[in-house]
Amino acid sequence: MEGRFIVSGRDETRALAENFLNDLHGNEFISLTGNLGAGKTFFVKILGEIAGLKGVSSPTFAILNYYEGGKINLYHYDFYRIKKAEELYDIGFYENLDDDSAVKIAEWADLFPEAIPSQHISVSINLLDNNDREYTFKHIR
Amino acid sequence: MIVLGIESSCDETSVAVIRDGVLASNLISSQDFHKLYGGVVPELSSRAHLERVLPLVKKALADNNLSVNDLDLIAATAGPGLIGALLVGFIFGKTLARTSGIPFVPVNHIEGHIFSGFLMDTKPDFPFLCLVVSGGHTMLILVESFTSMKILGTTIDDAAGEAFDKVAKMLNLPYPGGPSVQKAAMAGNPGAIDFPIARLSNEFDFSFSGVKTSVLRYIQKLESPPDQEMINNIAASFTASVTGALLNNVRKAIKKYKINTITLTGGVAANSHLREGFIRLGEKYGKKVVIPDFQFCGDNAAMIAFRGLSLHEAGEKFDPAYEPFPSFFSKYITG
Repeated sequence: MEGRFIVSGRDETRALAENFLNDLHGNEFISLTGNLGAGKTFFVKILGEIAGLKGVSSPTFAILNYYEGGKINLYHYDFYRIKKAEELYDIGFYENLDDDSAVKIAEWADLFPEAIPSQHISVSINLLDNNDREYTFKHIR
Repeated sequence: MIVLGIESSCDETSVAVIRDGVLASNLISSQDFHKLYGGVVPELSSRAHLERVLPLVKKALADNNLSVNDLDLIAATAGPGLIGALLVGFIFGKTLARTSGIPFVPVNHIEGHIFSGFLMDTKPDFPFLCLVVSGGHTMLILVESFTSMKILGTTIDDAAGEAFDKVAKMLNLPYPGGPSVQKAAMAGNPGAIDFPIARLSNEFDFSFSGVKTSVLRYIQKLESPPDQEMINNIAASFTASVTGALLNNVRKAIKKYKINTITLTGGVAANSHLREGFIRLGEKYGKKVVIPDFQFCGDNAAMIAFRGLSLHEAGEKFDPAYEPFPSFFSKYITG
């Protein structure tokens, strides 16, 4: 799925997430960007709900959460608290990149662009003045 | 009985010794390691844990005139946390126990927090309610015994401490966010702005993502960047909203369950608004209130050593092949 979409509220976000999820093979790397409060974790939570992954919550503190047992397996990263690129080795980031059995989503991926696989899906979320969200999906090759 | 506790689930490396039921040492890297070695603040990494764990163990033993041979039990955090970080303290503790021929107890970090009230002179009485609030966790737990607990509610998105950190960032307040938001909140009017908290289908769950976005929205809509008075009012109103949601769930649980004590633990327990509200709640409903000292509220090994000891005394045994777990897992806690 590619393009720009404006959604309002939970139901429309869910419909968008459903389309997005249907297009995934289950092994992609997704860079998820947007300002504080844009709704990055919310989007992953909705994806998780649709995929049957329970209890998806913010990985900011834990840096990495792993979920399995649904339609997809999911590594959910958050680079927000990472200060140096070399810390990514320590959290097992590069080991998990090779895991073809799971989708990898990294919030704040733009903080360490050099760490992101050259082939990935970019999802950016922008909170608009009227509380709608603008989603932009791009396949980067 | 001499117990060595090791904690390395996240940023802090910590080592503690409990001797005959009394806490003898509780060394925490952000304070004690820097005193030992000075210099740079180590970044988040398993290498940092690796550099700190041995010196801290040596210091904890030396401070108490103990050698490794004097230890009777070793407890280490097994999860949840970052696997690379967990592995350092866990493998260190497990190996030391194995080579010393003494029992090793893997400890769930959250269970450590839950029983941290027992490190105080005034201890919780079973059954009790525990509110764990930190940067990474927000949980309300009904504690029936050392081996039987029930999660009543948890955050469905952000942890309370994370919300404080992120709102601090929005207000350009210094890191760590908790203390700086509290300082601003002290000078502000908690009734100035209404930041609503979501109502959830499980009456004991929490959600702090919405209130974070409300604060962001409010700041964005201001015509000019907020002055100090406005920052204080936002901080106070936000704090009132978050502590209100936390305390409201505790109140509902006090009414619903027969309990003797309420305890508040985790890093956010340092917040004075939350502490005061929590104490008032206990007074109102005639419950004993236990809020551990701050050194036992943040991540620390004293709580891990105590939890390890309580499991050992309950007769629990652990397979030597026991592995650490990055995600939440506990055979003593039901959902």
